[in-house]
Amino acid sequence: MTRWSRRGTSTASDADRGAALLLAIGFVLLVSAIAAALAALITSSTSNSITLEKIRNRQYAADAAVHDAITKIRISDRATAPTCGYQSELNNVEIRVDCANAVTVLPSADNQVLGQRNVIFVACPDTGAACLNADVIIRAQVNFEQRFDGEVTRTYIQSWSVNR
Amino acid sequence: MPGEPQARRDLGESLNEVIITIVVISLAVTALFAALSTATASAKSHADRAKNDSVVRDLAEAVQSAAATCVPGENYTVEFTAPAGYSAAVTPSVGVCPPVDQVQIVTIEVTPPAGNTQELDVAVRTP
Repeated sequence: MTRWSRRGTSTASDADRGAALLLAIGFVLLVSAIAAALAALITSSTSNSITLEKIRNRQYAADAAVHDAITKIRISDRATAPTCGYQSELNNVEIRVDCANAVTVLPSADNQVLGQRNVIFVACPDTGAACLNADVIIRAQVNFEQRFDGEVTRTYIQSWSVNR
Repeated sequence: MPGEPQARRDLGESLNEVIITIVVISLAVTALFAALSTATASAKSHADRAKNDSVVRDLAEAVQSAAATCVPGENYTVEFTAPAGYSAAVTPSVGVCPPVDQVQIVTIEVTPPAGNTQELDVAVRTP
């Protein structure tokens, strides 16, 4: 039997027709799937690094805003409850700082006992309204050590939590 | 062709198939290598940015730490060694402790070996 006659009479050979092309198409589909997965990975990585930068900028902007609020409260009248609502911008992020008095110890007239004025600061992205709990970036409690005449001798950070 | 045996026509189609298959697979493999190359470059870029971010944060913390013991009017010194290949700059270069009722904005610039400079402003104050 010659080669030609074997191929010509084989039903298996007829069934195999086009098989190579189908395999190639299958291979192309597989490669496409791998390429799509890689593209998704690249997009995700780029997005992640940009998000990390934004978070960093936001955190340091909030940090600066709280420090700025501390300096303002430091020279404010201790008899007045602080309201803050300070707005500032740093690293292209607008931040609002609200504050409230915590437990306070009044100084003695002879300064034997220094006043301990504690203020809680919260910083959040500035939306024009008071900070909501869910939006708080930094929450800090600061102690202002004061003399009887109101002069702050030193500030102490009692707690400083970065939430988001 | 009319009168040509069926087997001979099958032989020609198989050859065409094989050639097309080789071409298609070659294109696919080329695309795959290109995608892998892009992914590798992207991963390196992402890793560089992440490392750069950590260097920027380290320097920012070094600045704030240096100012934590400030006395108004005196200088504070930032102690920071950038990783190999990185360059770091702080503006103002000589830190003068701010008055107690002001914050001082310090600009940090970090340039990694790849050259994408990152900038960050941080605030320091006298405690």
